[in-house]
Amino acid sequence: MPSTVPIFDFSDRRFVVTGASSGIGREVARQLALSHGHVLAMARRAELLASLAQEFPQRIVPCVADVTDTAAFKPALLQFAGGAPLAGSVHAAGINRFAPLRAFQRSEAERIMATSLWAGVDLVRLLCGPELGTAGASHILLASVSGLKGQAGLTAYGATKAAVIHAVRSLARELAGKKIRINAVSPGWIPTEMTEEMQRFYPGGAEKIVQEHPLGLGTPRDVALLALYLLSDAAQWITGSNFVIDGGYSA
Amino acid sequence: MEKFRELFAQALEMKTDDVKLDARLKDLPGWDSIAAVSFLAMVDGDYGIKLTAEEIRKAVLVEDLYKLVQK
Ligand SMILES: NC(=O)c1ccc[n+]([C@@H]2O[C@H](COP(=O)([O-])OP(=O)(O)OC[C@H]3O[C@@H](n4cnc5c(N)ncnc54)[C@H](OP(=O)(O)O)[C@@H]3O)[C@@H](O)[C@H]2O)c1
Repeated sequence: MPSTVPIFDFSDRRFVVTGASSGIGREVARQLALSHGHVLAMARRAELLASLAQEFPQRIVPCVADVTDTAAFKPALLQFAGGAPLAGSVHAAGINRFAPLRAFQRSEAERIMATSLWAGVDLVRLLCGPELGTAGASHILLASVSGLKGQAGLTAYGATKAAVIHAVRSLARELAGKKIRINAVSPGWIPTEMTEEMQRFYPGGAEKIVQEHPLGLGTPRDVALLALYLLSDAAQWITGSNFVIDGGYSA
Repeated sequence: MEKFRELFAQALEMKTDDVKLDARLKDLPGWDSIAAVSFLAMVDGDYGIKLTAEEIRKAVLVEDLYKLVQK
């Protein structure tokens, strides 16, 4: 097993992590807590957030909220910040839906985009504003290799992730003046609730998916440690970039 | 039944009137992998039934798919 000694020290720093009830977001919150950071852990399912907070009662504050409803969770954000600026965020809340063109549903597509892209941009708006923004902060939006490579049935999801990658470029230019950084992280296939659901649509099943990743499938921890690096001061010269982490899938 | 035939027709991009329950799937020109996963995705939304690509692959007749969504 990998060492449990933290690589980074986020003592006295506060972060917001969305999608913290499950998968990648949950592991990002855990790794931040293990590295002595404080985390506002956001998602809709209260029980899952409660069990996460139970693991790190001193470090993780659960926030049951729909990430697309910025106005609703703003008070919780301000309370968590306690009058001080926040050190950054990881927007891992996301949904996916497999739909070839003939099964395309516009309302579903808009929900995917609203959750991954617009909710992330709006969160960053709040966190970079006068109340919560500060020089040195770092933000991450979860994109995907699906935003770089076309995949049948993933038009809405792929377009959303490509849009995330690009939004980050524009935002990086805007935020550089404030010395705030923002980057995208694009994982390959990581077994989580999301991929468990998607797997039904792959006739070759799990085996074929594994074969497409030369290093095999990744873990939420692999992605979380990259995110921690980007949140840390070690990444102080990195902004507007997209980081592919996919075990060689796109090599 | 009518709902199933409409959905199946949409997944294969064929006319609803041409959907025959006793037809063999592999004899239908529209029955390919995209049609199969489209059918899966539509069943999800319209019936709330979560089938897998593997279950669909086992179907021989159109009727077998009808039975799957009646579960
Ligand atoms: N797993 C992969 O292979 C993979 C690959 C590339 C990119 N990604 C991206 O990585 C991110 C995390 O995915 P994952 O694999 O960890 O998926 P996951 O296990 O399904 O987790 C998704 C998280 O998003 C939250 N969420 C969804 N809609 C929300 C909403 N409206 N408000 C608040 N929270 C919401 C869910 O919590 P609640 O349901 O409790 O609200 C859950 O915590 C996503 O952006 C995904 O697209 C994943």
